[in-house]
Amino acid sequence: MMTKRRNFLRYGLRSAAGLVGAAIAAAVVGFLCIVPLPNVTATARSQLVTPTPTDQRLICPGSVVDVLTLAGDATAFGAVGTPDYATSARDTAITQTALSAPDASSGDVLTKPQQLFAPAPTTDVSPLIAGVQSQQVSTESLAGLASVPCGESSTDAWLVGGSTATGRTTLLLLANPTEVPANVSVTVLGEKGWIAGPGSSGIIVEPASQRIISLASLAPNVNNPVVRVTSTGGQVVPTLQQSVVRTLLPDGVEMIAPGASPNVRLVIPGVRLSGMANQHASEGGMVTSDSEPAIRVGVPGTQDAEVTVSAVGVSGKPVEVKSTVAAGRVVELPFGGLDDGLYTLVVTATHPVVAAARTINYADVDPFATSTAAPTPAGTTIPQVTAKPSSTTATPRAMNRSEQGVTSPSRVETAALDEGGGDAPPDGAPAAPGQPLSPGSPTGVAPQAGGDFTWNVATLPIVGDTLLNVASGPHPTLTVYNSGSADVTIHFSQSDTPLPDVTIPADGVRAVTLASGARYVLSSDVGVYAAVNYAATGLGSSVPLTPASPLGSGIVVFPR
Amino acid sequence: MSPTVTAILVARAGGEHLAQTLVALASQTRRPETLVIVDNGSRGSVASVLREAPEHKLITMPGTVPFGEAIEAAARSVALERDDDAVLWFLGQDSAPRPLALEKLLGALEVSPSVAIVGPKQMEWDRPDYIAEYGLTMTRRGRTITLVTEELDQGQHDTVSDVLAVGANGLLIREPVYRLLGGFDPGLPVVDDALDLCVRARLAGHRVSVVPDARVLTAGDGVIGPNMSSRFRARVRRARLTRTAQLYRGMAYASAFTGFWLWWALGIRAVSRSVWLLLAKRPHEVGGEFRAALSVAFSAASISRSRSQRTRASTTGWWALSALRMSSNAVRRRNALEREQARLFHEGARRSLHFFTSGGAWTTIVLAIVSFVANIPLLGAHTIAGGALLPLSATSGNLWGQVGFGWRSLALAQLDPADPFAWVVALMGTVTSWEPSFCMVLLWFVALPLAGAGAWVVMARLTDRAGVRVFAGLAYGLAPTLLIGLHDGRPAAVLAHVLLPWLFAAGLRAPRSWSASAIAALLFAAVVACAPSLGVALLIVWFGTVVLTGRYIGRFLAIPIPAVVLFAPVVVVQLFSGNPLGMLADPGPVVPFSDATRWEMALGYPTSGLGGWLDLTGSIDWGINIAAGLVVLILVAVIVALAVAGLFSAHPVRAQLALFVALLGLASAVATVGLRVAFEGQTAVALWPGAGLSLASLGLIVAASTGMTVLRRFSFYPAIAGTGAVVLLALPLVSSLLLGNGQVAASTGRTLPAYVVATAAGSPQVGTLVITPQPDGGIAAVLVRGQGQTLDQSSTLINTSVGTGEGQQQLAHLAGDLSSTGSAQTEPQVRALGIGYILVAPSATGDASAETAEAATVGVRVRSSLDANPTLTPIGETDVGLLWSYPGVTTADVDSITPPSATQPWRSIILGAQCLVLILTLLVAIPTGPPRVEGRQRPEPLVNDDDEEPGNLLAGDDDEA
Repeated sequence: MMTKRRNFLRYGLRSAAGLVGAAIAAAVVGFLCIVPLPNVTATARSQLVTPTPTDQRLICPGSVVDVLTLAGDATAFGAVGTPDYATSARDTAITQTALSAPDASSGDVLTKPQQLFAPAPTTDVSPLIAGVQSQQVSTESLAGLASVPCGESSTDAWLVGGSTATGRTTLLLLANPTEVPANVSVTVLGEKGWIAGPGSSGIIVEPASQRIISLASLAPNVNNPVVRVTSTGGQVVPTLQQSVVRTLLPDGVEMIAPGASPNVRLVIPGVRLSGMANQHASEGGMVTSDSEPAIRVGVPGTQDAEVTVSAVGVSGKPVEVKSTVAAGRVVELPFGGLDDGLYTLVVTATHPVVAAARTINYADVDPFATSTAAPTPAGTTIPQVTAKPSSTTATPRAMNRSEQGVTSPSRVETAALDEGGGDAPPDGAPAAPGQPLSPGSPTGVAPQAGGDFTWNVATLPIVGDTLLNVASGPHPTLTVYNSGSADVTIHFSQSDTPLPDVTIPADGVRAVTLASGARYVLSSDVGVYAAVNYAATGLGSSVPLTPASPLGSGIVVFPR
Repeated sequence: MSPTVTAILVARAGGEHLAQTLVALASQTRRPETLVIVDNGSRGSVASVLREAPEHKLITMPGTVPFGEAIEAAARSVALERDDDAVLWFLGQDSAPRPLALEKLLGALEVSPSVAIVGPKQMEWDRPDYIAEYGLTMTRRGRTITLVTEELDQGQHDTVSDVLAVGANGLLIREPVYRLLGGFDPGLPVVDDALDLCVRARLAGHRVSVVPDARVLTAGDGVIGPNMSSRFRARVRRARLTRTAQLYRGMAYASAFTGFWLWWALGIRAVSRSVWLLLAKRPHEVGGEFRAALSVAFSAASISRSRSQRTRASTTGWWALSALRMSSNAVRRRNALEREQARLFHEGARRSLHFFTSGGAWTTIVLAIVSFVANIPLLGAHTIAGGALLPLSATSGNLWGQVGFGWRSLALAQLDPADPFAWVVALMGTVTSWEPSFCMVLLWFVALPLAGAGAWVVMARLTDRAGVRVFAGLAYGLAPTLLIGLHDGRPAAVLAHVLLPWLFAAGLRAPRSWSASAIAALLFAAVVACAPSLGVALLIVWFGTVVLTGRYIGRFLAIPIPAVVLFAPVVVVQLFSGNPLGMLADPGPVVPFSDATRWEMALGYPTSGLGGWLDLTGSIDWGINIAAGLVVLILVAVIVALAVAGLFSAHPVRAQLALFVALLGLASAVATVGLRVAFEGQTAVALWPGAGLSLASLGLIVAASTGMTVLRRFSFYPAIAGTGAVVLLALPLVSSLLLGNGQVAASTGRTLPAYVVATAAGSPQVGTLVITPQPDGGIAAVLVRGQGQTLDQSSTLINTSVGTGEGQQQLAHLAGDLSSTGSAQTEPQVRALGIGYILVAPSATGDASAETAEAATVGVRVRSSLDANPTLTPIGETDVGLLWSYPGVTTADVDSITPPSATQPWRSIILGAQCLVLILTLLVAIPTGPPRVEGRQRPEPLVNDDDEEPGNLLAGDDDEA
């Protein structure tokens, strides 16, 4: 009896203990799985290293170049006219010298590529320099407005634009401002894939000189080329010059600066569309000729990219264009159903792409024709340039989506910083101080029968202080795009005189009318994308505002 | 004529023993004429007992004095009444004489006048028919030998009469002889006082004999001779006093000249005997050994006094004693008997594991075959790389050079103690000293069978069932955490997993053997060196063991000591730099991994993806993540169910403890992933949770094995089910290893371009600045000297440090300037640092598509800046990144930045201390047969069925003989 009872007790106790143990174990596992436990995440030590400011060099590619036919099949290049250089510097002085251009016959020193040099400062202040060149030409084979920023040299650049089809001439200008010879390789991505033509690598550009290469010699008969320029040794500033001759008449010329490197998100600010009504009439959903505005998208990688182009206007909802671009191909996408106006294109893709936009300045369409008819609101939030009352007349102007006149009277998208008056004809623009125009300057040439086209390149965000020089061109307009999710206020100043701030809403665009030949400083705490657009009837060009070379900016180092 | 007997009773405390002694004295057939009771510092407790005492004279000593001094005081007090026939009888509070004792003793003294000292047969107090002591002698080398001890008195020794010496208890000495000899030697206060007295009496021409019929009980209270308690402290003290007395007598008995040399040799003898003591598994006596040597070294005056005292009284030489001393043959025979007895004594504790007949060999062979098949992609490799695997230094000499303290790689000039892991790496590299990096290949091949065999041994200590043992071995050998460690290239975690069961196997044996305890201590240090984050959990297990272990606490207490000594320098540095959590960082390079969610960890996976199950089910059309989760959940549930069944088995405590360990391991794993304290560039990387999961697996497997025994004879079936579950669980991982999808692959053994390695072969100090673009647009900069980073050079102090010192600032500025305009201006500075190369490594992840835009941008920036630097020569794309070089760099100035002399003092101190502790532990760890049985021999309590005793974790299953 006793043992039975004891056994019973013993097993009972054992079972109870087992149940309690299992319950405790389950509870602990549950606790460990569910209850958040304290986390300790240490912060890696880092140090912001601000590099010692050094010499700065910017290269302007020089005059527009014409292809001269020599005896036989030989060709040579000859500079046409002299561009207008607009430069400015802060905390330093610019020395402007010419690089040698052995490939092009030229007369004046100013027709050669120009190097803007600022020596390393002796103090810790890092100086800023900037420059832009623009040239309006009108010859038998070249006509139009070509402007391009003076750029820094790099080892790797992507140029989106040009064409080597019949009647199109695309030249690649390679300037090497460094002290060592540059060994340049040029690879071209076309609508049919990568093209490795003979002579595309091992191009030697001697120090302080410029080489000119016809793109057709590397990639003939390519409608939509994307050019990648890589260099070892010295670095180069590559520029594309494209000119179009349509039925024996020149139909535009443009200089194309390097754009942003392949990325899954690109921003092309300052795209001015005009004459879209005609386009809509002949629209077929495809870009059939280079006389239509288009977005050129190239996929350099090995995977197809689904591309979405979102056109953000100054007002209204963004319009989206979607397409799939095959790997290793370049296509041109149409601007589907967009109205005239200023836009910023945001290109997003599933895999890295390069992109640029071509707009057409028709010889028979005045991009500002209807703008004067638009209601001009008065007494609204127009930023007034009050700092220089003697010479400033604010000219508010609603110039966007003007055909429909959809903008409400109270909404003002365009601020004006136009000193000389927005309607001042370009040929009346004052020459930049210290930049005497050569007697043969074609800036006075009247717009001719042929049209012009504009390449708008993808830019990188600018942050901090940026110098903005306005070249001599018609209707200079600054477009600023804020990609962030909060409003951004941009401060403008001119000759150290502050101008009214411009606030750009989140994911929004603002256009600011500038004065031709003026020099501004614009500063933003947050990165914004900006470009200056010049346009008139049958004339057009766009100059991106590029950030200073990253090499001069601070870099965060994580030392161990 | 009957002599007058003065009995001197020395008492330190009243109480039962004294009372009984007084009663025994009163009942003597021949009562002593005088009874002198010496109250030796009892603080009054003696006086309370004296009421029942016969007529006596009381002397109260001012404090507690040695027995000899108390006797002397008493003898002096009766000196006035002395005559030539007087005899003195020495008693203690615990020496109850049998009624006939004094009569028989006196009789022996009267029969032969040449006898000056007689001693009784000392019997044990609580077992009066057992002989406690019956005559003493010395070996040729002077060691005291008790002729008879712990023997049942059957009159077998009654023929003995002449002996070299007798014990002080109940010793009867002629008073004139006592006077002549000058009493006890004050230099021998506790041990060997009577032996010395007898020896001097012998040298003075007297005889010493034992009287078999005179019996005196002795309790070993410590009034006469040392306290005979079996408590640890008493044993240690007794050993020290015995050794002191032996050394003292050795010098006192020698001539002054020999004594001088013996004095000089004291230190060396102490050291060499300590080594012997460690080997003999008596580490607790080492301290006493040195104290004995010290105390003898400083009692030169006492020794010379004792020497002159002896020579004054001597009439014969040492030759007269030689017949009574024990011959070396007899000593040998006696030692052999002792060993035999010890073996018999320990026999009960030994369980043969039956490695070959009980599945151990099969488990190991099966796992070895699995390991071989899984590692086929690594066949023929000399070096493997991937994950946290780095090559080792080229020679084992270099490996050992990293141990302790020195200049650290990756930083500009930083002097730090080494990780304890450097010891492990150095040891492993020495095994394959012809090519140290090969030891990692070896580890990858033997990890599975070694881990499995370890778990088999743990289970073999707990059960006799072959099926259960095999389950434990296979389950632990195929544990997901081990396979993922192999898959992802985590050498430290793999080592920890392999060593962990061996640590527990040694720990289970520790209560029975000092050797196992020391092995456990070494394994503890090795496991914690490999996985410092596991240290907390293991310390909790250790603490629990110490608390639950009653009797053999000493053998557990010492287990963490080697680990503590190895970690002390790192801990001190981390504490002083205010980064205490950094001491938990995993050794080796910091490599990010995909964190597992909590529930994935609870299923035993340290990284996400359920060990390949997600990919497996994802490749099937209908497969979704839930399917993978369910499959794993069901398979793990089999093991968990068995573990829970263990709670209801015949060994619930074992299952409870095992489950507790498992939960502790899981908690440790969950806690470690929350600690992001080590850096890889800008990224703070979590600690590897695999080590905690290894502990969890072991605990769970032991619990599950316990659960299998519920079915007793049919435990084979759950063992099959459990084995099937673990094998299925492991399938995707093993196949992934076999297909070469793991991160580990055969490598060239280079972490820098061959170009740099070739240069470094000539100038080993040449520096390579490695710049890595970071996801947020920064750059990481490390400086690697020589042929590249090695596993032995990596340091958690570098990996976890957060403060920005001068060296880091300099390195940051250097890297920043090189990545910016005007990088040419840094050339003189770079050359002065001996930097010959600049390597731009691919962005951290190494996967081009995962590189962020910012990283790509900054990568372009760094490349273009370096390209534009006219002082640099571009070398081009290499297998590890883009390389530039400074032509003609010299490392002449490098030695001034990192002078080897700066490491000297600390390196010596740290290495000295660590070597000392490790060597001592190693000496104890070397098995040298069963230890000597000390004190009274009682068989260990038989292993019983009582579950309430935690020691029963060691017990076998009771249902099988």
